[in-house]
Amino acid sequence: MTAEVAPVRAPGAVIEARDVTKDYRMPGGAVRALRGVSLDVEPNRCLAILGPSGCGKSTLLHVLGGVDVPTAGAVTILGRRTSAMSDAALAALRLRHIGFVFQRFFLLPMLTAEENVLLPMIEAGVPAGERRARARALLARVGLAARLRHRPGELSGGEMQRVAIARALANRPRILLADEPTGELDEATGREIGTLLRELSAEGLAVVVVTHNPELAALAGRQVRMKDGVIT
Amino acid sequence: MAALSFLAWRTLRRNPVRTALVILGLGVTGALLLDMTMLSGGLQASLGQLLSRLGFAIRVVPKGTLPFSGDAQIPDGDGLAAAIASRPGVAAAVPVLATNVYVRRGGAAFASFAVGVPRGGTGVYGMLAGRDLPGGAADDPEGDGGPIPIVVNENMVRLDGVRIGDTVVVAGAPARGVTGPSGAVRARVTGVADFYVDLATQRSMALRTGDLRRVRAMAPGGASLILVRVSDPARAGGIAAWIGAREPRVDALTIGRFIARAGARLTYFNQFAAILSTLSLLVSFLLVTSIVTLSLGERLGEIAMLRALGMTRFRVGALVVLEGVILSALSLPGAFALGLGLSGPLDAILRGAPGVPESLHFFTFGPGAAARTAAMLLVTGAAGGVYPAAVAVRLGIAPTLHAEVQS
Repeated sequence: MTAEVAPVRAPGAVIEARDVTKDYRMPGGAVRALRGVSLDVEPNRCLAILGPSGCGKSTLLHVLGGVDVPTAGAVTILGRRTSAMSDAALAALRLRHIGFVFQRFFLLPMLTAEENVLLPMIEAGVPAGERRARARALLARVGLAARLRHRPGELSGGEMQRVAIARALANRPRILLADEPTGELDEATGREIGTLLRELSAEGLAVVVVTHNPELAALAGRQVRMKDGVIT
Repeated sequence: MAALSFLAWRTLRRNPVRTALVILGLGVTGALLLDMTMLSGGLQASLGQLLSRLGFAIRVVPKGTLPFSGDAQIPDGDGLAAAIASRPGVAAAVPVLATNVYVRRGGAAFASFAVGVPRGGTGVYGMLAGRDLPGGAADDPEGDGGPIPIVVNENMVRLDGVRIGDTVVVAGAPARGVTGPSGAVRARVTGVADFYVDLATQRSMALRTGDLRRVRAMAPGGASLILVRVSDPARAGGIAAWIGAREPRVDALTIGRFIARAGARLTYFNQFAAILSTLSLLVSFLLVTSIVTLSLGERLGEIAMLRALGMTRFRVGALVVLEGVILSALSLPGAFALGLGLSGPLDAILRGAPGVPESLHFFTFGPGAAARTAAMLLVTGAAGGVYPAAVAVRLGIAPTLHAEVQS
């Protein structure tokens, strides 16, 4: 099956998905989560992927972010085709060029906010002095300059998501992928997070937000809708 | 690696009580491992220390035996000792005759181990008080009719009230009228000595070889053992080889060969230690595997997040293995404290067994035992982390993140 909506090919696209199909083997047989999806992700833009639960939004985000590879079709991230890359090369690509924000934050509870933000930079080998300065600047950027030493258990949901965004930005990625970033937040906090993501895209980042929240999607410059594994 | 260690350490601190309990458990199994490592080869190590302290680099014994292990004698031991003494690099060769005698004092009689040496000052025993046996030739079969000089051990002083200057009767038979190839001579106690390998209540004495032969009606020439002191320890192997070639009916045992031969007769200690060590390591392994697997199961989402952020499979695996290693490392102080504390009473129990010389120890602590124990525990910790690490490495990022959201 091919995409129902042909993508507009963007000359500077950082991610290109072409006829992407993704199947999952399940006990009852294969389940097709994506059916020939084609999509471009561009810098300086915020793209919202909308759709009901189970329509394949998160699967598409994972494939676009290189945490999963398509069963068929091709995903090219910054000019490199993911299905041709080794697991280590994909990990390196994600580490240096892609930031992830998750619905459940996935902050490490035993680390402080600052240490959580430091983590990707330590992995990337950023010098100690530079990474500490960068972590503090990022936490200040998301309004948490006074919460550096706090652990996730001492932060509100909105604050935890801000820490997660700071962590996603730690290695100065070109792409930010957010999976239901406001799913566990109240309306007002969700709006703040949406505004922050839009600001980041305005600063040059390619932002992709998966959400079923129309209000958050409305903040994005571009929206695509999904249903049953296809972009409608 | 420092970053992974830091992360692993912080992960273990998430559940301090659980981590502390596991460390305690590992400390107990580690203590058992340390004790078994000390026991395995401990007796040989103790024997080695004792032999080195005595200063004789070679022991010449009848073929296939160990010193004082039976009544076998080296034929013409005196002649062989003289030949050995004339070799370059040999400082002394002391023929020693060993047998059992009976001591009568007042109305009491008791058995004693007797060591016949050519003269005093041979280093076969260490003087504690009084005078040593006289030097010079003492193989006078007739004697001067006066009491012969003897040196006794502390047990004889402590248990039988024998004092320096006392006169006793040394005989080859337990009582007058008992038939045996022996005579009885009067002896004067000139000194008290440490005989190095005495049993807990063993009476020992030293007397001149000629006197001992007279008491036991032995033919001259034979020796139970020849102790050889060398001027250069590096030449001990060569001298031992020369002795073996010259007299095929003897074994010339360097300290290393002696320990190896003694060790071969003590394999049951090694087997015992090996079985308990294996059990200890198995329990440690299971403890680490269980706790790290349990901990991993509680944070699959976090592991998937780390992978999504760009941590490689290798580093995720290393992180989990490190948790096992850190658990083991943290258990080491407790394991050593408990193990060393227990080794004293355990050593006392085993040394209380009959036939064990007082100066030998079963549990010998040293850098080797410490290093082996620490290495085994750390390797076990790493091995315990392998299964959960394999789970973490195989974890699919997308399905795990999806499952975490669904839960």
